[in-house]
Amino acid sequence: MEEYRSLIVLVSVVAYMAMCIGVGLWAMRRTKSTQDFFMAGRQLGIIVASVAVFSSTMSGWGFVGGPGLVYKMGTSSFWMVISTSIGMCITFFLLGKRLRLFAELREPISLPDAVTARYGSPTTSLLTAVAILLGVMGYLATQILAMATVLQSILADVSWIGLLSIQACVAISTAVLVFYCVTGGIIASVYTDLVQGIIMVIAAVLVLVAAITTVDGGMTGMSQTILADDPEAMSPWGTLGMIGCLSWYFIFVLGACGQPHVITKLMMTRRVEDARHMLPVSVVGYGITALLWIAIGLSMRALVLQGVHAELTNADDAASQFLQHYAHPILSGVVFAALLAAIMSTADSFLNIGAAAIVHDIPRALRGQSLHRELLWARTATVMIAVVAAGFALYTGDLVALLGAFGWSTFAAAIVPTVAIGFNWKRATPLACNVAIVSSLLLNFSLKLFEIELPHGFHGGAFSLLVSLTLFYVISVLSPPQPIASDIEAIMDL
Amino acid sequence: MKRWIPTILLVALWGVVLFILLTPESPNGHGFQHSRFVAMDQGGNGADRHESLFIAGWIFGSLLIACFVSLLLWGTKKKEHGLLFLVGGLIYEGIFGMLCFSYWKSLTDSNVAFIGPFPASVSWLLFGIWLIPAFFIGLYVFFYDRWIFPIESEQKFKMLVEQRSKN
Repeated sequence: MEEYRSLIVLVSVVAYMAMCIGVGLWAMRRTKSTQDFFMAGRQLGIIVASVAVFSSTMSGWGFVGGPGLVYKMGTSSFWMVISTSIGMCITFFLLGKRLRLFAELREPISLPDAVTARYGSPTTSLLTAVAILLGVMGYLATQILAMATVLQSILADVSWIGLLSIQACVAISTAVLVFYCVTGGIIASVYTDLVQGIIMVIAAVLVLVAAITTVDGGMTGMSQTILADDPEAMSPWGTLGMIGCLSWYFIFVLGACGQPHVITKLMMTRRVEDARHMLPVSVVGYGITALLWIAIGLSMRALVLQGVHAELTNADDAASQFLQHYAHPILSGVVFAALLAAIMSTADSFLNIGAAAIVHDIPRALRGQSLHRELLWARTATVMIAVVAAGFALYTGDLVALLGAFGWSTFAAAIVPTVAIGFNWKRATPLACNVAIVSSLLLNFSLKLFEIELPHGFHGGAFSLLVSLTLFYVISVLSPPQPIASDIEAIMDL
Repeated sequence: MKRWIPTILLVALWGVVLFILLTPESPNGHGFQHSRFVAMDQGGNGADRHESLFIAGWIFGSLLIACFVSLLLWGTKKKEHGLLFLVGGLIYEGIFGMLCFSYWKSLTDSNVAFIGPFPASVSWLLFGIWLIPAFFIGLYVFFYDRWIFPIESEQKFKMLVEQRSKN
């Protein structure tokens, strides 16, 4: 039975990877310019763009780390899950129309390009690109490591393959990722996101059913078991407590409109009014995939407390243990494919915006023009970033964890003021943006590097965001107003 | 943007955050390792660890909700429909208030009340806080062509694009 299960999982994963390669080849024929490579020629339909938005938001961490957090802390991480619905609302209300208008009028191929159009400041654009690049390297390295770890555990269960080294697994998984990102750019990325998103939704629904039927008494049984052991773990704050949870709510809600790999997709749609329909599709899609996070986490905690399942030595094993012991082999296959899908759908977006930062944004900010033969360099940069991130993942140990952990907070504290607020507020100045970005980078890095823990479990990223928002607002109000290009000013009035 | 709204919200947020950060934390205030399972945490006594900060936490959460709803209203072009956002915001605040109330009540009751498969306070979180954005999503979808991107904005934008392509 175990060999049969392993084989099904392997076949599902191989089929999924073959699909990614196929999409890459198909998208290569549609990628003729840098606009196509980075912006999909602004031709994405509502469904494709919506699924790309939610599947990029739900990373592999959500599929592995999420259930692990519920296992470890009870309901605390529910605040991360529920933050996405209001977070996406704020993102679309503030940026859904605005970024798309910028995209059509000025034809930017990246977020820092749009920042240049808004503020007319190469320094602000450079700092935005640097913040993006730093966040991308950290996030991408953790995604590659997660992808390789998953692949290694899948292959280890197949007797005729055995245990491959982590280096070999990094090479295989990165090769597939790089292949479709290099050949098809963002077009391949969003169309694989579409398939990946659908797989994730199906997997989440099936896992929810499996979890409910596995534990005696279903969801109520899980709640009662956890409650009987520790009432706080089944309270709205989990074991983390009220203040920690609310600080998570703050950083994950507002941080949603600062995630460059997500908001860049708002510039890629065919029509301005597509945002109207994308919002509900993205929110519902994410909501369904998040059921896996909740269902596996609660059921594994309950099963261990009931003595049905052996104790876990590592909370992050919750998802794989559940699939191995309580899911039908075919469901395991679907979920493992979904897991790789969740990782890849986020990683490909990072590769794309990272390549844009290197070949387009930073050269433009420094020398006033981008590189010649930009499409060729974009493909080269995609390979380079993936290789560096893979090396980073394998050989820098704690640094990866450090960068990965501060990724969301960095994006949030650096980009929310500059883009989400500044693109809607004419009084915002480049100086305020520069100070907000630099302060957020320094603060986030310092808190992580020196392992400073704030009291009551208050999230360091939430504190950084509050500081950068305040600096941005106060400096904007106090510094003299800056001229804005007339066309940009006109679309800020719309 | 009316400057007094963000000013008040930021000052209030800083006030409550500083109060929270400067309040001494009870031992194991944000969880500790489970007595039997190594990879699991426990929360301990809810009343003990939340007593000094429960009101501050409730104000912090309420301020966050006020910020979120203000940002949503700010993202609309026509502010005269602010009443609907006010109603949505009040429902949102009400749900958060019920969540806090039912949690506090559960600390003193011997039997924890359930709504559906979860304790009442968790149900307020999952079925209330998680789902209330549906109200704002509805506003976005139904009033997009009136509040977000009305026809006159669309026409002005077309003219801008044409003008730019001529230049």
